[in-house]
Amino acid sequence: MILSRSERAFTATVALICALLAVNSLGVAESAAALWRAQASAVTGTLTARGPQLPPSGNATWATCTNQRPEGTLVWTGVWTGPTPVGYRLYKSTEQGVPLSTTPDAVLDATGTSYTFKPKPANQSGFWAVPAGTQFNVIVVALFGDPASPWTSAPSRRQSISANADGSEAHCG
Amino acid sequence: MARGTANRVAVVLVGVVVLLVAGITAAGALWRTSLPLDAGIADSGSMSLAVNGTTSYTVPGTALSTIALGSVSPVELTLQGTVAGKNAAQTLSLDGVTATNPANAFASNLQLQIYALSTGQSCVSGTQAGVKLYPAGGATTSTGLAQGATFRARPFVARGTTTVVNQRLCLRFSLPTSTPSTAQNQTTQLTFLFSGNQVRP
Repeated sequence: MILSRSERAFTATVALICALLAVNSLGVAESAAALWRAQASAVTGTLTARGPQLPPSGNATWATCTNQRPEGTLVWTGVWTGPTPVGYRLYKSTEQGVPLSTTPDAVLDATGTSYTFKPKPANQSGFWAVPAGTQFNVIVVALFGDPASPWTSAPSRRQSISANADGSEAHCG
Repeated sequence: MARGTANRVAVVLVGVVVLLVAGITAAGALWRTSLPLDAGIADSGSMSLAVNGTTSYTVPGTALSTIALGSVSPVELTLQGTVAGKNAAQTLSLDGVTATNPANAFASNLQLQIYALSTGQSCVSGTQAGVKLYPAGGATTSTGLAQGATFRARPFVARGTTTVVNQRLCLRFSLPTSTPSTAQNQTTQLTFLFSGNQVRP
């Protein structure tokens, strides 16, 4: 159907009026739906990811320490509230880069709460030694997660170890 | 122009003019009578929302600074809401959580649970009591990523309440043991955005 000019004008006028009514209706609807909103935020301080902390009750003890050649046995025990350790590392407290001993040089017990380090004479590779006439402190850290790329716990408190001048005995504590 | 169409256009225009004139005429009425009326009171109402007493609360470092692998670090917040005005009520929602360093291994593995606490319930690292708001549904042990955490609007301040309403929330952060060791010693900071929304009675 072909509309004349006047019919097109009439149609356009009606369309304009309808559009104005529609816009007005939308405005009313939008106004009726407006809601009040109050906002508040909470911000954490800077969070840092850590390995499990050593429990306050944790301790490092020498299970057998006297009348040994410098081959004491260090037993670390701890109670863990987090995951079970996959291993431990023994460090000189002043040299935390390279451990004196680490997994698998000793045996992790079934519960994962105890680990035994067995110092051996220096000429036996893979084990750690207490050189004759020396004294130093050691610390222990626990390992968690993937053994190939483990998380490390916070260190234990320091434990003193020494060997007499002729290397015939090791002492601790 | 066809005569019939021209007539229709004329009728529409006349109608519009009549309406305009009517409005003007009403404004210019000559005869008038009036009576004094008491002024009505228009009360727009108001509402507020705060976290631990402020609109922007920072969790002290002593309360939450480290997240240890495999354990839960809890921190408690108190949301405070008020409403004023007839028929005003408020809901509470968590609109989102954003993190600094969002792509690092720590932030992208950090998990969260949110519980609503009732009187007598504490925010703990062990078995948690309360209503779990995030993640929605699922077992009480289920967790969700901290980044992007939300919970939908829930009733908060009821209509007609004239006092401050408190809602304690327990935020429980954790790192799963599957988190790569590259996350160790990485840092992030989280911002929680809560909203109090007016609702129709």
